[in-house]
Amino acid sequence: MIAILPIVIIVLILLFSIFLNYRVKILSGQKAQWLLFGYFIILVVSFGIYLFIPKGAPPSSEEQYKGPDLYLNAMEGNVSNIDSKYVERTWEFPMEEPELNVELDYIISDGPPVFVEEADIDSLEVILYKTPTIINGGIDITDRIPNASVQLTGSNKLQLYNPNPIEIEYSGYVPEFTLTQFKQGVSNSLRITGTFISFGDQILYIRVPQHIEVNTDSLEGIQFVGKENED
Amino acid sequence: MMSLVNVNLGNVVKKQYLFKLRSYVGVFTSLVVLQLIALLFSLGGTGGGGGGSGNFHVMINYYSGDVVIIFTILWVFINGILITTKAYREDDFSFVTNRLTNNLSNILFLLTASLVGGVTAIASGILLKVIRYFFFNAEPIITTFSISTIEIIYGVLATILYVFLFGSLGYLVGSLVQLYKKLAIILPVAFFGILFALASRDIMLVEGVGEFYFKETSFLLFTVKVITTSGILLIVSLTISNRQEVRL
Amino acid sequence: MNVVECKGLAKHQGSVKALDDLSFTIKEDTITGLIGRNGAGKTTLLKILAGYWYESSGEVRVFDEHPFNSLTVSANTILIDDQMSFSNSLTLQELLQEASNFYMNWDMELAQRLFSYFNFDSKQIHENLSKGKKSTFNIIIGLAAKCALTIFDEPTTGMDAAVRKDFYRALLKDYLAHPRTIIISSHHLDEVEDLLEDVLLINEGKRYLHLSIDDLKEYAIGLRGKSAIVRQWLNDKEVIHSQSIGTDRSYVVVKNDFDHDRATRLGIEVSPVSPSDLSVYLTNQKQGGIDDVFSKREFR
Repeated sequence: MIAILPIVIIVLILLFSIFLNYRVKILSGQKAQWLLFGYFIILVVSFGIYLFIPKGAPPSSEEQYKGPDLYLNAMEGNVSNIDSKYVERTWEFPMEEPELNVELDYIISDGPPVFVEEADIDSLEVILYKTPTIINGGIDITDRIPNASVQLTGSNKLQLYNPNPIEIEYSGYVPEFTLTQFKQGVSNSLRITGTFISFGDQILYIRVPQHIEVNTDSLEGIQFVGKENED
Repeated sequence: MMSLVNVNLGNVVKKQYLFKLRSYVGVFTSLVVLQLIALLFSLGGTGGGGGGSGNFHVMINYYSGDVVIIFTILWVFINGILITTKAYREDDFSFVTNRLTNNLSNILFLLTASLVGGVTAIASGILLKVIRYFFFNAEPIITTFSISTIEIIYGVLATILYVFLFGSLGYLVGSLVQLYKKLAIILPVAFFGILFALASRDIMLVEGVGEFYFKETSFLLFTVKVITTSGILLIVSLTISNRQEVRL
Repeated sequence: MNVVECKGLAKHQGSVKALDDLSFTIKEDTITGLIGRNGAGKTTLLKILAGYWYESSGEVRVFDEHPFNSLTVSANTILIDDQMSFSNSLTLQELLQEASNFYMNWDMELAQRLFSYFNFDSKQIHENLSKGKKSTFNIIIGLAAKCALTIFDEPTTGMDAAVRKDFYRALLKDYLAHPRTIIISSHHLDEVEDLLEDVLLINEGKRYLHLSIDDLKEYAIGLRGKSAIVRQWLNDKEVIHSQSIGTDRSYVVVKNDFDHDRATRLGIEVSPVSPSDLSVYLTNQKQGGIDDVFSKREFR
């Protein structure tokens, strides 16, 4: 709004200087009537077309999607509390070596946090948890967000990848301020844009058999569940 | 001797009103031009927002016809002034009129202009979105508010009321200037002067007055506020122009 | 019935008194010429009668109503002058149509005949017409409107001579067919003389004379003769105008209220004064005229 103010002022001054001297005359009578008629038709037709443009549904309420806090649950070793529907993918690798080297292919702050837990299992297990990202409480874009992935190279090198970030663009068709002014129970923040996004999360959760020693570069920021607390 | 013709007020007002619809066609062509200019400004989007984490970023570009409404309000303000000027007023005085019928038919014309301006402003907000969809890279669209039918009706009526409010304001400004020509300079100077003087003391005049109308979420109260204000503005205009001399 | 009545009418514009204590009446179905020099207050008076301007003091009645803001006066009065303003988004033909909506007695047939007689193009815009053409179009509106009080203020501005003559003929014919009250202001009295029944002569915002045209023709008399004789003879007469001819002869206009034979016997030539000349003499502010400006200079 602030940005268009100078334009508005310029237009205002122009209009005054052009029109104030004498009667407005852009076109003669007949042509002017055609212009008005044409404009009217275009507006009516565009209204018809608008109804058929595919549009994402508007928010039905202002309620944010509440998924579990993956990070907090993982930190505290409570992944069992996370509903299995948030398990996006699991990998299983048979482990023959006594050592496992975990390597991050990305800077930890740019991708999913990584947790390592020793468990009473026989093979190496990696779980990718993902909570949904939802726009306006209805448009689920979770599947458009690329997943982190895992690869076992050689016999004991576990590499963790984060795909290149993607940009997801939307056009938000905002009703004019006069249409939203009388909506009841709309918060002020929503009144401006009419959109809200519930951001989801991803974490990689690595479960290793108890007899295996896990090596990581301490700078990478991989967290050990349980062990950290004991120290 | 010819017998005297008897006329009544309503009849003359009606004739003048119809005359204005035919002869003030320029008022409406300028509306079309202005709304198209506003559309051009709005095509680039009226804002954007979003966010994301690690591997994604959501960007939403917002499109709305707010600028069209603002331009329409400017248009009606200017035309409210224009129809009080000599050229327009004296068109009436070439035919049967007095100052009261002249003012009443002007007010009817302003009402019509507000109706046309308000409806087309909302409609060209839709045109904007259609143009966006067909002529620019079509990102998936999110409609941001669910607007019910009654809210659409309120919205269109509110737009018309806003336009009428500013039309009435323009009409008063125009009438004042006709009364005393130097006000054409004094009024804007005084307005901005007071505005900045108050702003330096942290009193935001425009915001305060604006909130009275723009932040009103009850449609009924809003209607009462606008109609009362417009009524006062127009009655003052009517009073001060009732001794206006013409063909000076 | 009196169509127009003014009593002590005054109009101040700033410190200037455009009209000053003007009283007169105009009867219905007459053609009155409003005569006066530029700035005498003709236009001011007509605008007050049409309800465009209001009076500063005094009383003005048109159709027994106060004209300012009276719809009855507006519906039954039309003032044609060169300031008439017409929408530039309507063609001339559309303007005639609009006028017919407003004026109940509108005579479209007459309007159309005059329109084609004066070679107007239907699609033209009033604003783009030449000055003379504008005046002609305005006059068509004025005639066709058939208002009970029709006022022409210097209607022939910018017209060429042929069109003027046509207009005066049209006005007279239309008046005879549809009698109404007409006021026509002009500073060319000779042009409208044949048309008028009455003359209202105003000067400096005051009524000077209000006579029938016939009375005006008889109002004064011109005397020409040797200056010494004429001057001697004048001592008890009301001198309206005097000028010297050559070195020792004079021409003097005096009020026509005496026996002409006595003057003739003294060798003074007696001649009638045309109303047009008379009105010029009457409204000269001082004795003498433009000649005196020059003769005084020669003296120095």
